[in-house]
Amino acid sequence: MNAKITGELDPLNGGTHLKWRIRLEGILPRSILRLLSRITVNKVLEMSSSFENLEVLSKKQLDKTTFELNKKTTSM
Amino acid sequence: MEALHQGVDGNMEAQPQKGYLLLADISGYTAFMANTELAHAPLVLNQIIRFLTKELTPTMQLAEVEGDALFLYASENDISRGELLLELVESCYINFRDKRRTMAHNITCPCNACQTVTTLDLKFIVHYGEYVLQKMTGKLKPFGSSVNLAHRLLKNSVKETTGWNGYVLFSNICLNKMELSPENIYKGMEKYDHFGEVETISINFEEKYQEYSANRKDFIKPEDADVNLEYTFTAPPPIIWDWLNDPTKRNKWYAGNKSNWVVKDRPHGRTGSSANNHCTNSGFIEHILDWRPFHYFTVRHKKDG
Repeated sequence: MNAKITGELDPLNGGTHLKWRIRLEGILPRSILRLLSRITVNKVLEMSSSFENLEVLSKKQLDKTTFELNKKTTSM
Repeated sequence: MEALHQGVDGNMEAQPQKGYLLLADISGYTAFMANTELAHAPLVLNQIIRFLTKELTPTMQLAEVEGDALFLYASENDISRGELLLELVESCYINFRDKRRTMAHNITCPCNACQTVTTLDLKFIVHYGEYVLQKMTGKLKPFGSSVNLAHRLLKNSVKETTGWNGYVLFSNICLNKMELSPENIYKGMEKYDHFGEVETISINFEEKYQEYSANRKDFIKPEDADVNLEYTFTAPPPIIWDWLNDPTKRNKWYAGNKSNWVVKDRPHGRTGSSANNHCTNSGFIEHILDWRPFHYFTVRHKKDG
């Protein structure tokens, strides 16, 4: 069984709104594949927690860039 | 004399640092200005400059607007995946072309400036080297020989040799630093006083734009998805894109089963359709089906073997 994933990024107020979609590919009925998809996303990939981690890490990177630039500019 | 040696943080000596230098130049602007009404031409320029600034920052820091060009820089520590730079300028070019088309469609003003906006194009120069940051007229700017060379590279033989209007030119040293070997390139050699011969590699963005416009999109629509998730992040798309797609970075945020994504292959010398990543823990291969930085990607995960 394969999984197809699309990640769509929209700019939003200086940030990003991510739309993340998954579709399982296999010979099983669609209803079963949908159920398996939900289990995979929530229990195996833990995507909600993953995105929270991603927010923390990417915000840290953004803050670091902004902070260093501000520090350089204000200390002159 | 002290002021001459004063650098960032008020130190007596500015610390040299290494990083990427980017120039985004609106080509055709001189002819555009010469042949159009003075009243509207600066408005068109202003709109494009603001658009470019939005596209290229904060991934790169804006040093200065130099007439019809933007000069930007980024420390090498801030660009962990060199390919992000290529994706950044490529995405900027594609969005510029879309914007240019929209501007042309929406303009009702019959003046020459507004009617000939489609003659403007974009070229990018990307160089890597050492510089020092100094504050000039209230703004931090990189200075140094590398900065001079980046500016010299604006005058190059790419258009004359290839006929390209929209392109990116990388110095060879820059592309090596980015660890990229893209296909369909033009290898050039420029010669400048004090710098000698400089090897360059250029990519035709006009061709890229046509490819993006013509290609069938491989994209899961919301109604076709088994699961739809949405999340709003604080950082802009280029930063989120990098965290989502850099295999090394991805391993840091996946909360589920321990993943260890690594680059498997890059058939065309860069990430894009038909490139593959591999998770050495789960044994899954990630095959890239569609790749449009920083708008969307579609991948297929398949068990190896």
